[in-house]
Amino acid sequence: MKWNGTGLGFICLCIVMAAAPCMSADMTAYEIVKKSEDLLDQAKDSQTDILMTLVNKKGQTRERTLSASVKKYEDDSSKSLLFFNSPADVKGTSFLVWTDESKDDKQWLYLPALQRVRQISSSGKGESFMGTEFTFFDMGSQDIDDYTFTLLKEEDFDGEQCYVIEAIPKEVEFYNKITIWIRKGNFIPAKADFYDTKGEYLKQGLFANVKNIQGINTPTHIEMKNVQNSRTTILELSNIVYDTGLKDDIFTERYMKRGK
Amino acid sequence: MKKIIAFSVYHPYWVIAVVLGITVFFLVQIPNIKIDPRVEIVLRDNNPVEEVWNENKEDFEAYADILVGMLHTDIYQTGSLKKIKSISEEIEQIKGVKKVTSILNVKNIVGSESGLDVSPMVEDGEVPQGAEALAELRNKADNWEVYQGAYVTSDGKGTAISVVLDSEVETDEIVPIYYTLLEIMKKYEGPEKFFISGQTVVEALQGHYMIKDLKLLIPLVTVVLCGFLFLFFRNIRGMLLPLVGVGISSIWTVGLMPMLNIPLTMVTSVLPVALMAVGSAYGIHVLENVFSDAAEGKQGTEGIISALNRVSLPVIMAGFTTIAAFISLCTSAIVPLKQFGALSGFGLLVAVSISLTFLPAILSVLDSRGKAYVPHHHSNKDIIGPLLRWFSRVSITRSRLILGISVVLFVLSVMGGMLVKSDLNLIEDFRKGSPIRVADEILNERFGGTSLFNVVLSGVEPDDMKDPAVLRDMERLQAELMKLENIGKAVSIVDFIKRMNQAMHDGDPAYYVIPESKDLIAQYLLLFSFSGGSGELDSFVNFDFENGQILLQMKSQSGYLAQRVEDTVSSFKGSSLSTPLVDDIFTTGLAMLAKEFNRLVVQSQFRSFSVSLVLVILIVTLTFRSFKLGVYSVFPLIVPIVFNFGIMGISGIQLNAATAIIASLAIGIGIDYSIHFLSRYRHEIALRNDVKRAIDVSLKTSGRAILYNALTVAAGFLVLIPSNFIIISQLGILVALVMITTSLASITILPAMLMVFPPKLVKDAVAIPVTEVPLRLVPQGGSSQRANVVGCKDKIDQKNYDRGVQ
Repeated sequence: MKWNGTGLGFICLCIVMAAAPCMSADMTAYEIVKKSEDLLDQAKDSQTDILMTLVNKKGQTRERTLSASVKKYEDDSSKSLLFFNSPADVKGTSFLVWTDESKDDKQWLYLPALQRVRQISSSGKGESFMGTEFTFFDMGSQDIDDYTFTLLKEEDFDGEQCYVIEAIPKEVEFYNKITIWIRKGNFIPAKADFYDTKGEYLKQGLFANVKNIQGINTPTHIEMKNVQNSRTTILELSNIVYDTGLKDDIFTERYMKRGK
Repeated sequence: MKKIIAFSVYHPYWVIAVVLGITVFFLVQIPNIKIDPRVEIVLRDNNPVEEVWNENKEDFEAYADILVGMLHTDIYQTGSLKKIKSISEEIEQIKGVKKVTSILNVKNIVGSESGLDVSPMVEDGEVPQGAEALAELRNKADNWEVYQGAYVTSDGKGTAISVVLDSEVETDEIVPIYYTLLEIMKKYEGPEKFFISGQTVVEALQGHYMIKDLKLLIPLVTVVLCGFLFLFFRNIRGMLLPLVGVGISSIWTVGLMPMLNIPLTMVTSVLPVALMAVGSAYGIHVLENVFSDAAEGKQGTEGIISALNRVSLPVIMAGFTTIAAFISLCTSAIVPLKQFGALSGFGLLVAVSISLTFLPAILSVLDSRGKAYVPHHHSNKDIIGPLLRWFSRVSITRSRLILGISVVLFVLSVMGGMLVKSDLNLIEDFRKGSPIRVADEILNERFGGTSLFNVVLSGVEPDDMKDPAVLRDMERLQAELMKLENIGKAVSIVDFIKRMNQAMHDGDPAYYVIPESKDLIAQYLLLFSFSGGSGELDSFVNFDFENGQILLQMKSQSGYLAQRVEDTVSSFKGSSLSTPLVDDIFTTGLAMLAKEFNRLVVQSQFRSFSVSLVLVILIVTLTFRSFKLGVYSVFPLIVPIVFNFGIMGISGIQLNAATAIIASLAIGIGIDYSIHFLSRYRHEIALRNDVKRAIDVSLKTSGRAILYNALTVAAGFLVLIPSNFIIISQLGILVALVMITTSLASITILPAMLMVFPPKLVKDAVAIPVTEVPLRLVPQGGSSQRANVVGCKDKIDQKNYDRGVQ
């Protein structure tokens, strides 16, 4: 499983979703998606603070703050480290993931109350990530060639011109279909509708507050609204820094214990 | 009234067109009717017990809606497990299914020296092959008690798939899901055996069987009524017209249901049969009088009008008393009973109105003659005659004995009545041996239980359910509850936390305990959420961890079991609770609704009973202008009704939403018997007969009508016996019984009372007509017979009628 840890992977996924032969004036759906992905995937490493808000159907909220560091390598492998800053009872908990070509990621968890690092097995990709409306699959990145893309139309969304692209997986695993709105101006996705394996509308992702950070357009407000269980997860990204040349020893057990 | 009758006869096509028009209007509404067998609709929306239950469903995710069990000599075989896998995959594809969990994909938490593994029991859902892998699976399954009784049986001979449905799935969508499941099972059946149950399925199937019932019972009651009517009238017209009358009344009533948003429930599904059995009397009475007159030469429109004018008051009177008794059910806190009361009141009103307008209109179009109808000038030669003579003799000579026996019977019945239990145990409504009941029994025997029940601990503030003190209390309460009989299983977040603690300590069983640190518990939960396990916990803790619940699997959904759980909880709350962080502990679940139902049904029974008594006393008092007769009229009802409860108590028939209508029904119909008898008696007294004479004449005339009527209503209700539901069968039998006892009481207890305590009645009280029981299979007043007995009173009779009508 590819782990990007910042929600960035998720965006990539959405972009991956969009690509196919299309009859757009200049670009095919595939090209649009490819370009979107390339634009988002420029940085070699990143550091981000994340405010994660879970909203249930009654409108109650639960917040967590965490810091994420991600480093990518030439061979397409990556390492990510998550630190929990709040709520207080999980402060100092950290989660380390190494991904590579192989199917199984390596994952470690450090629980400060136990003062021990434990390797934990990876869970199914379709599972909810930390009780959010994102699945592990959403958070990872996929191969653009696993989908067939069709440019449906162009329309305004949230005041911006968007390509509306339908992505159909060649092999249905978690979603039957994803419809994605990609901004024409900067090729950053704006919205994505996910349909479950039975073809029923499942959830909607929104990508807003696009900020130019070190030349990379980055959505800093990411929202996933599950229409079937009426729950929403909101990620607010801040203090994003790209390409600081993160050292490898950040992504080790020893570093996990140190906390932030 | 006269004007309406005249209009109906002179402008029949108008009346027929309007009635048929309205009938078509209601008929097209019927397809919109909703079937709602859910237990929760039994209680009013603002009922606190139901509110708690609804809040609980908001707070916690559903744990299991449907249980699919597989039994085999050994389920740990590749072949059998492959079936579980394929079945799970097929179930997942059914629309409306949200989650399917089996022993193959349920989350397992395992610790090892290197780390922690929270993942499905079998990796990637691959069915284990080979003895070693199979043994490993069994070992894992046996290793954590949470699985025992839920997903596997400890003997290795059973495994279950738990199915959770989307919360939006409506009850009527569950039946197709159930049948799809059955079809899937059928494919995989043998040598493994499959069984499906679960509360939602049981509820949904109730609705399904209600429809089956209606398809069977309505034709049946029609046939029985046809038989009775034909025997009586000996012509097609007489057979069909009363039937058309009650048919129309049933259509209007059932058509009204979707308009008022009243669903079809166990109780309201009895409406058509009840209306037909009770309501046909009015049409019969009308036809009988018209045919009699026609046979005596008073044919044509004039004949119809004069007959109708004569019978309209008795019909209306009888209708109103019955309606009043049924309407008294509206005071019930049990929603379906309330609805039944209102709807049956409406239906009977329609039946009365149709009899007095539509039927004469039809008769005036067709011809008022009943072909081959010979007025039944019964002599005393039939079986009823000697019987009535005997009753008359006994009532007069042994009146004190009769009253004595009644008192003894009353006392015994009250004692028996104390034994009556009420419960709302859906599965027991089904007949023994019906597939769902068999499946439910087997699953309950082998697994933890098919009925879920919730014991909720509410904290003071968010995250309290992560506190070790709270969890320790929860753990102790859970252990207490497990000691109760018929509680097969209890699971809570405690089990998960202990398991994680053990796993994080290298699987050391010594660590299968609640950790001391709240932070550690919070971190375990976070860890669990990394494994995608957070969804599993949503059934046990709410969103902000302020509330947590112990989920009980029970082998019954009885309110009595709920009571035992509640008792355990309150004693725990009173004495064993150790931390102030637990604000409250309460119980909820369907069984809790059953318990609340039990409380309300008894209370509402007393209430509607008293209201209907007051109403009928009032009506009778007004009718006879005598409070005394009003009181006299209800005594012969009270004994049979109490007797009915005595029978229920001794035979173990429960007071439920169906049997709760019996008392009102008995009053509603039985009061007609009293009125009928008393009016005849009063009439005879007015004719300066002495008490004995008056009783003798009254018995021999009205007694026959009363018995015939009781037999017809009883026969109508006896068709309920083949119902798919035991409670409906019981209702049929009990109503039949109460009709017999009420009719007998009105010709024994009532005369005996009149003998022993003769009320002072005004002589020459001719202003009030003799009120008839509408269904009389004898000519009204038994004119010819009475002519022999009392002489030429016919003219006076006629005069009474006419005055009454004016």
